[in-house]
Amino acid sequence: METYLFRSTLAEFLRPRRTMAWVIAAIAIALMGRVLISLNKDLSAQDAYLSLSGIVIYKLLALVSAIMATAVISQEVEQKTIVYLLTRPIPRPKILLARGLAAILSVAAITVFAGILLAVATVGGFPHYVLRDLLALTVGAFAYTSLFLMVSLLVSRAMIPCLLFAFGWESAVPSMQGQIYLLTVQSYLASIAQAPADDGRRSAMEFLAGLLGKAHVSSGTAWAAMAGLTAVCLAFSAAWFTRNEYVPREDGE
Amino acid sequence: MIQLDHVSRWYGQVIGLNDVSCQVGPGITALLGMNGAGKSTLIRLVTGQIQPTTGSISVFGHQPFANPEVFKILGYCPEIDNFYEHRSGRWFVQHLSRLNGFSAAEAKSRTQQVLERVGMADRADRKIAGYSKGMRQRIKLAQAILHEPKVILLDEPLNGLDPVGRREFIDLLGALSQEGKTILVSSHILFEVEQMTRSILLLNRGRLLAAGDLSAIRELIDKYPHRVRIETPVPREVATHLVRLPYVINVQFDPRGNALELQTREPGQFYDYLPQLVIDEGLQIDGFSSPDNNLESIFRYLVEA
Repeated sequence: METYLFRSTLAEFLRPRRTMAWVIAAIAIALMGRVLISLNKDLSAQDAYLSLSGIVIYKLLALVSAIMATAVISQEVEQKTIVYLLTRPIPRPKILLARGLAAILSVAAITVFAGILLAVATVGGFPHYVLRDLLALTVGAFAYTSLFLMVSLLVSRAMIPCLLFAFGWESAVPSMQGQIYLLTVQSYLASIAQAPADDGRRSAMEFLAGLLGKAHVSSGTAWAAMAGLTAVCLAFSAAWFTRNEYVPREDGE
Repeated sequence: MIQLDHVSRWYGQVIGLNDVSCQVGPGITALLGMNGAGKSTLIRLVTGQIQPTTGSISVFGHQPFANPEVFKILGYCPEIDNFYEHRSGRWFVQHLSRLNGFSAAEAKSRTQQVLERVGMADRADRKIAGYSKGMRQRIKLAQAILHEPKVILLDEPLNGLDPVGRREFIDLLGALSQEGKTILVSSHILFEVEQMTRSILLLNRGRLLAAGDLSAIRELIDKYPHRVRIETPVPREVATHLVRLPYVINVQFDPRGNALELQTREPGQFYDYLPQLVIDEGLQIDGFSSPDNNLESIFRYLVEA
């Protein structure tokens, strides 16, 4: 049952009508890379890639995560179809984890696809800095989607706080004084993107980390933090979802 | 068996259900009440969507909230009219069948069977977005009975059905009842319920006003005398004999001259006496009926009381 729920949710999240906009966005970013190279003969392919990969990593990843995470449960509540899910003989934690994992993989698939398309359009292959960015995108899909899934269970209309976090907190905090940057997902993703050893060229994460301030998080700490964040958010979400009621509010007597 | 023991449910400062205790066994039981009476709250409690604030609920010995064991034996047809609109009815039923744990082949087979049973087999491949209200109700019923549950809860299932559809729906519920299912049907339309069952739970403002057989409940309402209408070509002669009876309160004649209507506090004694009167006095009586021995009257009496 859980396997079927996972597969059907994945198919639902990745159905063409739902992913069309993301595919168009990915193609548009890749085309921008080609245009950038065509218009500026001095710009190297790597620089063109670095100029645009931030859009995929910092904008697209967060946006897709917010939309997919809120579709896991809260969209079902808003559409009032949650009742059909909750009256099936599947334990609630399994419902949440099956759908949550489907959302995470959907986010990873969409953003990695966009990253690959951009790499092909600009550098024409997959050098190490591209591969590290793709790895960071995958880790980021787990971290952001788990975090936003938890938020979507705690507050109604979760999209607004999720987007405020993604585009407000995550953009502003890394450049602040002190160690508050440790409270951003970006700082850890930047560290993951820098690993393994630097061969002198900069990845998109390194480039942005450099712009935002030097990252002080070690690669090991970053992996542990992202794994911990994902595990804690999913575990908390599963426990919360099991104990709380999910009934369309306007129908409540 | 569904059992509620002193169940109350609050929504903040508003009470949805107030100290309700009752049992629902095999057969069809109607859950009656006006809008806001607490019918949907009770059904949501039994289907494990919400938890009671106080009291306890059990469905075949299990507490229902978020309990998969209950959902194996429970089918639920919600009042809400929301679906995955871009999907077909067949996909919807088959999808939920898979979520009930059936293999792909079994889900497909069960889906076909249940769609035929609810009269949707020929229209199930169309998108739900294009369905009429009646078709939606049938699809909702299909997903509720596809796993052959012991307990079926239907929240306002007849809404939107045309007369033929209602008749078919009621017949289907009757057949399911004959199979030994425990069926709880909520409705605020009394005449619909009367066609289904004589067993009722009557809610008003969150409280259980009455539970049991319709006739037995009527007997309990001694504040209001029972009305009996007698069709006869000789109403005055019949009335002469009836007004002598100590338990007949009053008699009124139909202006058309072919019937009379009386009120009695002892309907049992009256119905025992009536055949004797016909035999002893040779009076012609074409028929008799009890105009207030129906849900509408009982509901009105109980709510007014």
